[in-house]
Amino acid sequence: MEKTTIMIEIKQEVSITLLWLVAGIVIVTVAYFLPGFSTEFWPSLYSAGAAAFLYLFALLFYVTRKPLEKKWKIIVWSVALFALGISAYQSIRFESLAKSTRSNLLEVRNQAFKSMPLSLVPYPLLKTLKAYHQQHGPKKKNLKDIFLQFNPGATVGTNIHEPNWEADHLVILVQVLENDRIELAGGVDLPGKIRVEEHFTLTEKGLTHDTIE
Amino acid sequence: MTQLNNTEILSPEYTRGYVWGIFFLAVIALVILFFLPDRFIIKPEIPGQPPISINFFFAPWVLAAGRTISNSLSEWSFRYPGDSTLLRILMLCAILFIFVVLPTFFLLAWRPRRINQNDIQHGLSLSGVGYVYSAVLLGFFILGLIPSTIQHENTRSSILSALIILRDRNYIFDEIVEKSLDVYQYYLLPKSLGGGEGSYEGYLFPTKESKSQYASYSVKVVNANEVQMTAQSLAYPKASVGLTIDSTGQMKNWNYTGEYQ
Repeated sequence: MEKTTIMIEIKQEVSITLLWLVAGIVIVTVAYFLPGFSTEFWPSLYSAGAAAFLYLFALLFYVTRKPLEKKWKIIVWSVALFALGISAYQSIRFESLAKSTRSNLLEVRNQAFKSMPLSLVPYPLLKTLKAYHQQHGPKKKNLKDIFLQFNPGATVGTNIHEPNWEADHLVILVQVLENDRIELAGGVDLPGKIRVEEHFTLTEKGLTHDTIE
Repeated sequence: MTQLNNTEILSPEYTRGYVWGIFFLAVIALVILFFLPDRFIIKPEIPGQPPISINFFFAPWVLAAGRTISNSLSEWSFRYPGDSTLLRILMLCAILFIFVVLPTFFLLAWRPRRINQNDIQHGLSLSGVGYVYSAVLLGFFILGLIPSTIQHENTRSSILSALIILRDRNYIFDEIVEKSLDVYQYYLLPKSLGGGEGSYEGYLFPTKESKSQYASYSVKVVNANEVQMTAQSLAYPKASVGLTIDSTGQMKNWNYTGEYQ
């Protein structure tokens, strides 16, 4: 009789455990897939986390009901709230760190692509300026002639930059080509359709620059 | 005594010390998980994606953060990140294991033990094994929360600081390139146009150009064919960038101090 009683109690205990497990797994799994699929996992994590927290609260209420001593009720709830609180805090901090890292990395990337035209576009103009002011004698060539000397065939609208490597997307366009004024616009065509343009204007007095984003 | 006899009849296949054996197996498994991370790598589904370490099975938020950073590295190279079904399933399993399975096994086995303290009939049963396993793993998880939080806070500020320093240094580099144009133009222009006509002597750095959002700049004429430019960081007083501009306008002899090293 005692053996039968123990068997019934064990079966009951196993059934209750299985019921709770199945309920918890179903609830958390459904919540996990509710936000849908995206490249980021945070919506799924928070959704499943919220469902898991609710499940745990229900489980704790069930486990700490009478006749469990009040002392143990306090201990269990304190440990559970501590663990859940720290888990939530860590999730939020990790998300913040990951997104800040992403934002800074992309800013560094965009900045690096802005540096390219800034470094390379002035070069043909400075070469022209140097040659222009180093001329001697009464007959002097104008800026346009000297520029064309270094960039034969260049006209308004042409790209005078030759790619140095496969991923070199720099473009240097001639915008103005006059005897006393030359304007170049340099930019990088990025796959994400980001284009940063550096404009340089050359006159005999020197170079001026502005950026258009 | 009667209960002990019944337990032996009910579970003749369990030997004494079986639960302790399971306990030590669990400890060994956890040691392997935490101290031998390289042995537990899941190869990515798509070539080019980083491998997935299951070392962070007890911290699904670390898996999610790793995914965000991995996506940003893809975006850096203008490759748009794809989904990872394997990682998504791994994260779900981690959440279910830590927040559903372990607490359920532990709490539902703990309660009757707490209420019926003299009842040892479950000590060598399947629920006893589950109870010990879940207690050990939950204990590791909860005890590990505080040191992992402290470690995260310590590394967080250094990671963000390193990225900000990298970003600021890049901005300063661009500003140096721009200011060096003004310096070199002075060298090229004739004296009639306010230049040095083949010399840097007499060059005066414009006051309005001496300070920006990121740094303060100074130029020192070393000789007719060379100037030194220095950019002193405003955010990091010990950090600076120095360089030399020669008679061809080339920037060389770059040197970095402080955090910019």
